[in-house]
Amino acid sequence: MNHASYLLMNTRLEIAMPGIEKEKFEELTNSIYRNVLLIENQVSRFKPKSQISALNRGGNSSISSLNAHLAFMLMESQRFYEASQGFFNILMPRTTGLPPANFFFDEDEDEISFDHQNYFLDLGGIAKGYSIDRIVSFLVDQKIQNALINFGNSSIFAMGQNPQGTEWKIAIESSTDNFFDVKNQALTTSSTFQMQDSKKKHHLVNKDGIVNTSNRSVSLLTKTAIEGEFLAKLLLLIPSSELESWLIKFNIKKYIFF
Amino acid sequence: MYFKKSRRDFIKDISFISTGALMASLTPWLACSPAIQSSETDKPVHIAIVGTGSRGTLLLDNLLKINSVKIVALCDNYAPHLKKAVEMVKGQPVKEYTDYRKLLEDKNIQGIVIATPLYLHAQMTVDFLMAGKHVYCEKSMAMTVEDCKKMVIAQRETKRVLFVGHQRLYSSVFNKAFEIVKNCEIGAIKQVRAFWHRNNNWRRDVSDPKLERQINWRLYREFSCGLMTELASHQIHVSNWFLGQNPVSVYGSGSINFWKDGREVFDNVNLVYKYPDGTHMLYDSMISNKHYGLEEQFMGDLGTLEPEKGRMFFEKPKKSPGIVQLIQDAERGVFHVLPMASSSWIPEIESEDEERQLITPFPNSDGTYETLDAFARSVESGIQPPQILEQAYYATAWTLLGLQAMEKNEIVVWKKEYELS
Repeated sequence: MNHASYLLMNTRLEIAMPGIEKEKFEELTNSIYRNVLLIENQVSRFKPKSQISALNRGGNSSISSLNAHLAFMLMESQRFYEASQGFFNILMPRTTGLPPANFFFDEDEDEISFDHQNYFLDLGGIAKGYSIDRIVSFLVDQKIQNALINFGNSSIFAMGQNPQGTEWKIAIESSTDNFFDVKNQALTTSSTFQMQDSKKKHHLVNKDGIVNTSNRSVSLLTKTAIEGEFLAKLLLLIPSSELESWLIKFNIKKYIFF
Repeated sequence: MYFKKSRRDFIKDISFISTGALMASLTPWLACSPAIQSSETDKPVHIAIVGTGSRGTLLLDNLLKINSVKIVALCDNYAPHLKKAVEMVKGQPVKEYTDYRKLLEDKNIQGIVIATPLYLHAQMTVDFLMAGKHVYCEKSMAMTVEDCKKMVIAQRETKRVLFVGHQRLYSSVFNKAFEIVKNCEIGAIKQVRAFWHRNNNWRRDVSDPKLERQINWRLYREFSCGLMTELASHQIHVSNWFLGQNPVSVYGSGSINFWKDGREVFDNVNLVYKYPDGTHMLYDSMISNKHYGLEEQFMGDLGTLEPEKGRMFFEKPKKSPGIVQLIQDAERGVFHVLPMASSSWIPEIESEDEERQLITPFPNSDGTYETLDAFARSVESGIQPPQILEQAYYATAWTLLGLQAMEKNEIVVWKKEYELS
């Protein structure tokens, strides 16, 4: 079983591929590493020289000047914002108490605009999912049929079959009784908090601009990883009374709250 | 269905040997500390110290804390140093000597601690071993490779114990660091960078100009090899120890470019040691800037180790439990549910604070106490711990060859006659 792991986007990217020559595997994963690093260098707001950092500082807002990865992710984020009626939003307030706001992505005018003084763009919620979709696409092009890609445990894609010839069985780390049979799908997990220094740090912002302080997590299966990232966050942010309608709207069949 | 895979595809660090068992075989000198047979208070080992200057009194201070040790004699030909050491013993009866040769015949002494200037180490050590004493000689061993070899031969012939003051061998931090290296936690080490920077002139106050060369012996080539033997030898030892190999060549450059006060030894040294597998150790030492202090940096493809500060840095994250299980399942041909999905994993080490401590809390001891304690036990048992003398010999030899490379401005390679049989 060939496997590789890298530190990217402040988390761990792991790739496992059965049934492939080691040399070929290294060639593929080296390429994957370089490309994901390129994505990170443009979409990470923690990198001062990234294009998104430049946008957050009020820099050049021409869409056509944007890196293709960044542009695509912004477009998808806009689509998710509209489809979720504002629940999913990559525009974050710089201080608490500010009303929710959106960014404007006008392809005709070739302009992206938002109030960068009071808000910043944060693609951290979908960057891993996006990167995984690019990795899967690359591996398919390279005629790879079976692989397991784990990006930070929260975004996983299982291609094809496991070495035993069955679907990949992947469980929630804290409870192996709750598992999914995954084949050519993404398994995404989202939580309202992260553990830092043994403390819970809440990071999801509600539609009203206030940090969501509930303690919940959800895992679900989707066709693409970026979609999984979007929908997992959506399910954590919507009122529980609206859950059923949103599940139907997005045809979410396999999910677990925990 | 049984899934068959070539063994070479599996991860190297899945090990069926316990860490404890592995480390015991790699650090046999630690395991060789037989318990004192007699009651510690009834029959302590009798130790004398020759050379009670700054290092000698530090060793004395440590020895006084070891219950199984009794200081029975002190020797120094500089009266103020001898007086200070006698005062430290606080009223215990100790014999005072100014000539080390008088101790050779003192049957009340079992072990000798030598902390004299470098140029005296070889002769004193050989004389004491031949007189039937066990010896702890401060590093570095001697001023020439030939003298170092004589010391080893004397130990082998007399079968007495000989320790050399490379105290990192007994330091808990360094042994933890060594364990990390041997477990390949930082991967393949292909470069070592070591340095020791201080900012002082190395001079001691001299009451009488006639005593200049005696007190400030470190500054004169007749008595000293300067920064190499006083500082570098510790770090060359650690590099050899951790890499599990000795160098094949060395070149470098040294000069006196700051402390131009009549000294004869370099005040800065810069060297490149090359090892058989192509690994390099880059070494430098200076005494006109102390910003970077002291460190040995072991750089592997998975991480970096800095044992002097007791810390390490990882460049690749540890495998997730799910991946570990997948690999194990692939080996066994039976596939289980993989416990993998969770909220985002973030590294334990933040980008602003990447270090991981080797030992918490950081120990107060640099290994000196532990080394002297081990020496006392060996004096009692008569058992020479394996490897420590050989490690000291090769470390000192390469220290001296480094100095030769700088003084002669040439690449120096190992000679057959240096080899221990």
